Amino acid sequence: MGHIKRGLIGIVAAAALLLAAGCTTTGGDSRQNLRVMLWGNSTDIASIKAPAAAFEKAHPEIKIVWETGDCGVDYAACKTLVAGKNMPDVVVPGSWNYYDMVNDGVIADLGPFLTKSNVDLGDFTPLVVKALTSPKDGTVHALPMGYNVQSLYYNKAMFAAAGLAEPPADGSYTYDDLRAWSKKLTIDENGNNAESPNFNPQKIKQYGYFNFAAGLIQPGYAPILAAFGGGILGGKLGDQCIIDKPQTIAAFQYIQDLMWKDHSTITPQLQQEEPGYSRWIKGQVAMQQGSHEQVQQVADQNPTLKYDMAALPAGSAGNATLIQIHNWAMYQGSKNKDAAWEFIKYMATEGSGKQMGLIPAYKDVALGSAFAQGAGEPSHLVDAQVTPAGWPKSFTNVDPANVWAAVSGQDGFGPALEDVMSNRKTAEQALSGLCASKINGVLKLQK
Amino acid sequence: MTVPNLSKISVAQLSGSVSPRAGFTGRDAKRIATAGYHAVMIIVVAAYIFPVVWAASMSLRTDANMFSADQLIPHPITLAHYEKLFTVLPDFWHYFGNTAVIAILGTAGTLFSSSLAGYALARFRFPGRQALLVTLLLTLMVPVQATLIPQYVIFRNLGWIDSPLPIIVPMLFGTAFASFFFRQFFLTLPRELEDAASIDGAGPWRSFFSVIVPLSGPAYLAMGLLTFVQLWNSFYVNSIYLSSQQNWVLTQALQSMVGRYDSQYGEIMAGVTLVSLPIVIGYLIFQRWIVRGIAMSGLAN
Amino acid sequence: MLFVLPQVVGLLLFIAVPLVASFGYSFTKWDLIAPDPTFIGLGNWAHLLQDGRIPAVLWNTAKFILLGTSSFLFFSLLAALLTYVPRRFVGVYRALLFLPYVISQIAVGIVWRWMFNSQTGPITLGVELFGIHSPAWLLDPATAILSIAAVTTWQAVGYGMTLYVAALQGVPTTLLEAATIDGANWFQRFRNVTLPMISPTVFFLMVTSLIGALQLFDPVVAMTTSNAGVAGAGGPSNSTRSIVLYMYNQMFNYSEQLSGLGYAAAIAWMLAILTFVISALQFFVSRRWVYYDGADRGRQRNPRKRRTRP
Repeated sequence: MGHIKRGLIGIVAAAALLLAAGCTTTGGDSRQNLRVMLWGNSTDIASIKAPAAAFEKAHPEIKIVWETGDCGVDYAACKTLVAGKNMPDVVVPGSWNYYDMVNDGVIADLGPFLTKSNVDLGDFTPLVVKALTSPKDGTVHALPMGYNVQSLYYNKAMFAAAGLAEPPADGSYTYDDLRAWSKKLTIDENGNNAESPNFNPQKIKQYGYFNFAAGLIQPGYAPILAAFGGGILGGKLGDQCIIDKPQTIAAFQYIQDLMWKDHSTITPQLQQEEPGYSRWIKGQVAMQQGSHEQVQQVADQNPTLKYDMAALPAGSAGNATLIQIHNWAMYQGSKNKDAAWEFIKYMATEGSGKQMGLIPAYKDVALGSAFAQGAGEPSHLVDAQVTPAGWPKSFTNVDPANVWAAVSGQDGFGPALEDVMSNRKTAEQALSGLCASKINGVLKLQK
Repeated sequence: MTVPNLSKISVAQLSGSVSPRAGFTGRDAKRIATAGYHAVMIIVVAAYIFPVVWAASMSLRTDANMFSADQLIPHPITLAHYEKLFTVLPDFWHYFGNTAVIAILGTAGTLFSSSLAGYALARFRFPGRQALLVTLLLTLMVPVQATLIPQYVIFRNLGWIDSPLPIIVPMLFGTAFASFFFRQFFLTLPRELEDAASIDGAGPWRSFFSVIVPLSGPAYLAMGLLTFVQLWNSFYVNSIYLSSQQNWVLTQALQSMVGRYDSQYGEIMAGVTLVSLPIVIGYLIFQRWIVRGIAMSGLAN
Repeated sequence: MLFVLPQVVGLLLFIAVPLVASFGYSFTKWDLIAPDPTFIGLGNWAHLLQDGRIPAVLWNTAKFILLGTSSFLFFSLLAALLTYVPRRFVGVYRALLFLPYVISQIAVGIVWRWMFNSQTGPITLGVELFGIHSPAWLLDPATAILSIAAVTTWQAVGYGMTLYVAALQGVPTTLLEAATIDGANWFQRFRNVTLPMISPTVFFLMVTSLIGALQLFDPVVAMTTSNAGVAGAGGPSNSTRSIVLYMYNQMFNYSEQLSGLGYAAAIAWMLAILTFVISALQFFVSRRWVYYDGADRGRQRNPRKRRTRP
């Protein structure tokens, strides 16, 4: 049966040809290679390459070599690069894993570079600078690419149809207001809203509210916890368990009530049928909590959606929101630190803009007309997304003690959170005493 | 009851429904059995591939209809996600080529080296044979995640990071999985096959290539297909070794459309559909090869 | 022995060193950042014996094997029996049954979460057709691992079928004819001719699918991670956390008391030893039922010589 043998030879020959075609020789290039590793989707990556092109033009001696890898989302996978001693020169940590890299000594202290150059940290959003300044020794290991702020997005047409005034852009309303609106804005197939005695929660056509808490993610529930005066971890280093504080339990119970008592909010179950965020984009959800990246997503997927945004409401403890930062940092072992610094400096200051759909932390840019009044930006952008970064109770999800992954996972409060969001237990049943019974043990192991 | 002249055991018989025999009912019964068989198969297969059809159908839906239960046959149908796929990933065909190089070379190498090893393990007595078999199996038993880092260090020392070499080269030497498979397969072939060849003066190499390989078409094609699909769809290892975008494989490109909060479902499914098609077409083509191979091998007559 | 040379060379070059290294790591602690691991003796192995989570993740894995591996072996054989005879359209049926194995994990995760959803999910609606109240499948601790096993079986049947078909097509028809002449019915032919002839493939699939099932990882990550990432996978309530998922989490979990990669290596090798024992048992038992036509040592019953009586 010669045809198999001949076939094999043919395959090998074809493959060799393909391989030869795939190998393009890199010609003589005297420029200095700067390896920059990005993460995110293709839109994110494109949004960074655009300003970087201007940098390369201004610095003809530097050639940027782009790589993609997990040093932002999943530091765990990135550790392979560290262990293999193959880290790129520049990486993009998020506020959530920034201190993992700082404490591991993976990213370099920028102190010497800051003193050498004319960069003034006072030019950046104060909350961001505070987040990046180590509570242990005051060092700074990254400059911000930008940040995102959780705020309330709402569908203007639905508010109008329900005869409701739009939420005040500056956040001068409460979570009780939000709950009441959410009920009025949840409508079943017969046109009854969730307050009506005839309301059928099995046949809902329009939901009042969506929060990423249904996907069990921190940026979803954390702002509500803070506005209620609670949280998951407290203390200067974020290594004290406060998840069973009455305020935290009250906040989780609030979320559960919206989902399961009022039926006005997307549950994890509904989320499986169709992600709540897709429902928002296609105009089935009246309000949702989200951040600035979503402006671009709506523009891409449903440009006809008429929406605006407002700052998050006040809970019993006041207004609060969560801020996540994406940062530019350089590898401690980099042999091109000067070039890396030039790049980082440029991208965080002059070159800053809509990198990864974020709000620039370089103040002049963030409040400048090119950004805040840019095409397609909602009219309440500054009130809803920039000002809240200055609220006293606003916070970032930095993790200086490096405990979040263990605390939030299946060994930590993960199962309890699932129980609350899926309505298997009340917040009280799921969380009461959890610090002593579980979380403190996890925290102790991480020390 | 004795039934002569049955050249092949038929499915209808396996399911016990009908036993064709000479006589007036024979042809009718056989026809009914065949119709019944196809009716059952069509229902079973349709139900079975429903989720796949669903995925393909998602690629043709508008964003507004993406998750609607009544959209199995999309209405309206849109090709927008396919267009968008190529704007988001302008180098789609380049990634396609990268993936093809890895999958083709890796598969060819594995089939060659592993079938040799499998043959030796099945037929020859040599010192360390049992030890080799045990070691091969042992390598399957340690989860890949555990050896990832030492492996990475080796490939870094070789200067192979950010090239397809760490994925292709080990495959060229054969995989434990495939070697074990070929051992099992060759053990089923009667020894008389080579005995006849060795009487004609053929050495082990000649009898392997001229007697055993031609008889083993189904095994080669089955293992080739599986290896190919695995290389074609693998993500985790590739994402670690292929860090610059020009070296990406298709799975990495698809993964880049998964967002932090929201994914481009339509584009992902369009990509998945395009990525899967070559394998399905390949399966249908190789299918014929398998059948022809058996007909020629003399095993099945 | 030239035949095994490439495989042996590859084994030594690319597999043996990492394998030995990972065994070595199990006696160390390493955060992956320090230039080298620190030797700590048997600490990780001692910790393994006290770690209360190990029995839990082993039990989850065992449940997956009981549900997933057995159904995989059974349904792939069934699919192969239904499609191996060359006749019209079987090629198409086979290609279609193979489809789930082909589509990439990203799509599997998205589609099957939807399949299991409690509002419009076909699985839920199907169950409720029988008047049974449907559980929440992936969101219910009681059914999550069953759901994952069902999906992995669904994906893998095409693969098992392909190997079974290759084996079935190698069964000499002369044997089946002889049996038929002897008056054997279809079950007797299957039991006494077909099954022994394909037993090496059955055995191969048994051993390798068990090894694979013990290393369950990707499907759990694809179906249970929300946006929280791999660290949050394994829910609800730990019910789908497999041994390898736990190992992966431990690999990057380092502190003064935790050994990071070192402990992960100890878990990996414990799993390897466990797998080895199970596989050795399978090999031992296989002597009683696996028939090798071309084996150089005989003593097995030979279907060629065996005649069945009606």
